[in-house]
Amino acid sequence: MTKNSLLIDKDIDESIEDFSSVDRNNINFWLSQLERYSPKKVISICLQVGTDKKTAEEIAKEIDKYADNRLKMSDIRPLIFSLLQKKDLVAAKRFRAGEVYVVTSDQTFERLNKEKIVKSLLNETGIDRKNAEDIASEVEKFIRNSNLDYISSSLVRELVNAKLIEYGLEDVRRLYTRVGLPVFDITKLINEGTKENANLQYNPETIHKLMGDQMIKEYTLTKILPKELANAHISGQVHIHDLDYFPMRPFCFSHDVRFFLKNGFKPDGTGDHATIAGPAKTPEVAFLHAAKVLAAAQTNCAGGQGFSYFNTFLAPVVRGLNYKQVKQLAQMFVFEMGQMYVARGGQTVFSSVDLDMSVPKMFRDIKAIQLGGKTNGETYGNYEEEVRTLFNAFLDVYLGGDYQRKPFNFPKFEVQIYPDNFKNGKFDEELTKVSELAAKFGTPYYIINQPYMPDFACYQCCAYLMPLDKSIDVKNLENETVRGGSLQVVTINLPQIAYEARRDDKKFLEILDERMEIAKKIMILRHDIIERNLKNGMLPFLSQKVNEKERYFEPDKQSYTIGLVGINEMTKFHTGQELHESTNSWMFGIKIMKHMKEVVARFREETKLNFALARTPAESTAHRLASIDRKTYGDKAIVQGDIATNSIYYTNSFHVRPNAEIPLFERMKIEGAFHPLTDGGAMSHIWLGEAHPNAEAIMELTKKIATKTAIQYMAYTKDLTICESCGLVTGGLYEKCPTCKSEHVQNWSRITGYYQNIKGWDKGKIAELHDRRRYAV
Amino acid sequence: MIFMLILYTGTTCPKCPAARKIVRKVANKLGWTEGKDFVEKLVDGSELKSGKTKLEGETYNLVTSAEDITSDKTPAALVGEDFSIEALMYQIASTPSIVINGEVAFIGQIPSEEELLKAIERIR
Repeated sequence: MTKNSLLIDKDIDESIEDFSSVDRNNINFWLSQLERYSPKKVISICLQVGTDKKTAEEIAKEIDKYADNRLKMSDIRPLIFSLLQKKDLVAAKRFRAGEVYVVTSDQTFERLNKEKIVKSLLNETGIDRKNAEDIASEVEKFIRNSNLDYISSSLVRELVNAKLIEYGLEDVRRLYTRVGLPVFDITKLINEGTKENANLQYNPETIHKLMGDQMIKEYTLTKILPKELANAHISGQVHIHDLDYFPMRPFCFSHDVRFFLKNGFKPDGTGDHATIAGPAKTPEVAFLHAAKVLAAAQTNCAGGQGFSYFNTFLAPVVRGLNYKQVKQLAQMFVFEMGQMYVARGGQTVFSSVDLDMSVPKMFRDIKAIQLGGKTNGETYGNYEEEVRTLFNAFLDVYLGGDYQRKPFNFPKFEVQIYPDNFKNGKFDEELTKVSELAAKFGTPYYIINQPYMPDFACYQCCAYLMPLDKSIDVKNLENETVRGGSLQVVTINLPQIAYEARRDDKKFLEILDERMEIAKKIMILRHDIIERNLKNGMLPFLSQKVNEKERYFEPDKQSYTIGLVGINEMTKFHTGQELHESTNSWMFGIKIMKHMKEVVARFREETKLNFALARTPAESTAHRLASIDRKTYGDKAIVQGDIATNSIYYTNSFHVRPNAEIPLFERMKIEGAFHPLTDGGAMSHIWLGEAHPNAEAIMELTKKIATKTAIQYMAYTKDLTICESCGLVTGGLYEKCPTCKSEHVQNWSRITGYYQNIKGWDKGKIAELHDRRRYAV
Repeated sequence: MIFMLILYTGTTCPKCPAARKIVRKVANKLGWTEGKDFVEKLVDGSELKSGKTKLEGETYNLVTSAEDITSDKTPAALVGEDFSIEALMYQIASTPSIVINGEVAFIGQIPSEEELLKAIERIR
């Protein structure tokens, strides 16, 4: 029998502390238990008012002659009082004054005690004793005058906080305050869920996660971030991404599967809490390990998880297998990633794989890790055929879709292409198939290795470019550690700077520099937090050793990403024209970006940390910042969307306004000029307008973009309607299934760097979805 | 001023000296005048002043306006302005790059004499 049921069935007579494990929600139950008579409680009460043990026991014995446990404690209080009067007058007086009990956070009861308040104030805040005692006295007096029998410790704390404000001790209050959610909000979360994160389903895990998220967000803004930085976020000067993970985990990470092929795999990083696997000996196990690595790493990170050069590094594993077998492995991996509904609060792992059509030149002479974790003299250059087979196998899996012919949104499929691919025609077959996949589902992301780009361009997560060559050397190529990620993202609100600068160029740059300085401070704080957490063993997967000196994750080698929102609205305010409306405004936008790039380079020098400038995904940032500015600056603020319903947003990063009526290639050129300035990653979107876009036309357009623009990363987005009744997937957004007329349909589109059911989008993003200028290719 | 050919280069760019030579050789063949028919622009020369300088061992005349390029001041390169912005608007982010009659012909590569002539032929 459990302790719980024991308590409920029999041991009602136990002392009050023992009720701690009773159903936490049922306060009435344990208050009633507290009320029920027992001799122990009588003794406890007598002792609390100051009688000696002997007297207390005598009183209890006397009372027990008349009372039994059907009575309540309140029934026998007069009896206790009369007996106390006879035996201990001082105690009787105290008893008369009445006791107030504090229900503590451990769900025990304690008498209200001023000293405890003083002690906690001194312990938690560093307030001086005099102030602590004065405040505690006032609070105690207030509570005793309120005729309460019980008060929760959280309410006591709030009363103390109110006093701290009265005393002008706001900094003390920040340390002493509680964070948490109003009952109303929790009820709402339980009953309705939230729309803030488009990846989250309405399910119990999500609700738990969201409650935790809210608490940590508040905690971060209250305690972790200095006031100046917290205010910068709250006032929308900058947007600090993933505040809910700020005190704990880094953002996203791209892995090197060779490390696990060679060393095997400990999901928890240590093997203390999970089963340990050695190096995979069969192809199936190698692919399963890969899938689980991403899931395990996700527990230590806030953002996406991916593999770079995935099929190159797995090519040795599939040697000797026929196409059917290889496709089965690819299929297994993709299904694993789409079905492990286990990541943070019940969602699939945010995952991506970078796939090569050919072995990248820097790996051709590197010894290949084989099944069993050893090398055998073969280098990756000897696996051209397997790399190509695996590439095609993945492509075919993505083209097929799941059991219901529904596309896979995760893992994101990222294709490494080179402008030369279109000149030599060597991979026309693959590129045609990639174009078919874009036409069918919009699935592929194109990493275009432009001449200006570094050798190591691994795109992952929400489309961040890891400028790996800054932190990676030949040693990493050889020792299976081509890995890295963005530790933190902070987005600069550019339109707000424009409003503040009032069309003064010099002022603009001054404010911009200030805001970037804020971003820098946030990054350094984050670096230190993650370093501390790694040292404390809080991130065991990431802190596992690669060799004697190095951990799997080193904060000094990660990217610190500064993003931006609203270049378009910024130029509109500053120059009078939008990005696409004049060469002058376009040039101004580029100048500002270039300035930001230079500042970021200076930060790199100063801090020796890998700062980078990037396009922010801005799922909710664009709406949040626009809403804040609309409130602060009123009509002066230039926003997109529908103001009447607050469905507003800023155009993301350096993008041309989504509904600008300009030719597609013109749009690509305007955005293309910004791509080389983003050393941390950029993305351009092409919104497809046709239900059945022509794959050949997509291929031609891709070629044109790859060879005639500076765009380094892009995707074609095809809106999809997925029918829950007949299962058919149709191009375009419909309220009813065009085939079976069912109203049970899901509308899917690319929210930013990933596909998503639009049900979870915020209203700014929905407005953008409607605004998107869709093109026929 | 509209040039038939613009060569974008950088002050420290390993492939640029060869591109400089080929462009001038081809221009010479076509009878073009530097500063009128074609011009070289340094993308990282916004802070530089006019005067003689050595670029990868060769003496160049830095000028802040194409009109300053006289026959005794060749080879010349335009400086004093951030030409990287203009280059980016052409989708150019690496040097050497060549724009012919407003169309990008070569990005980050050295064309052969023949390739350059062909491109000029096609575009002009």
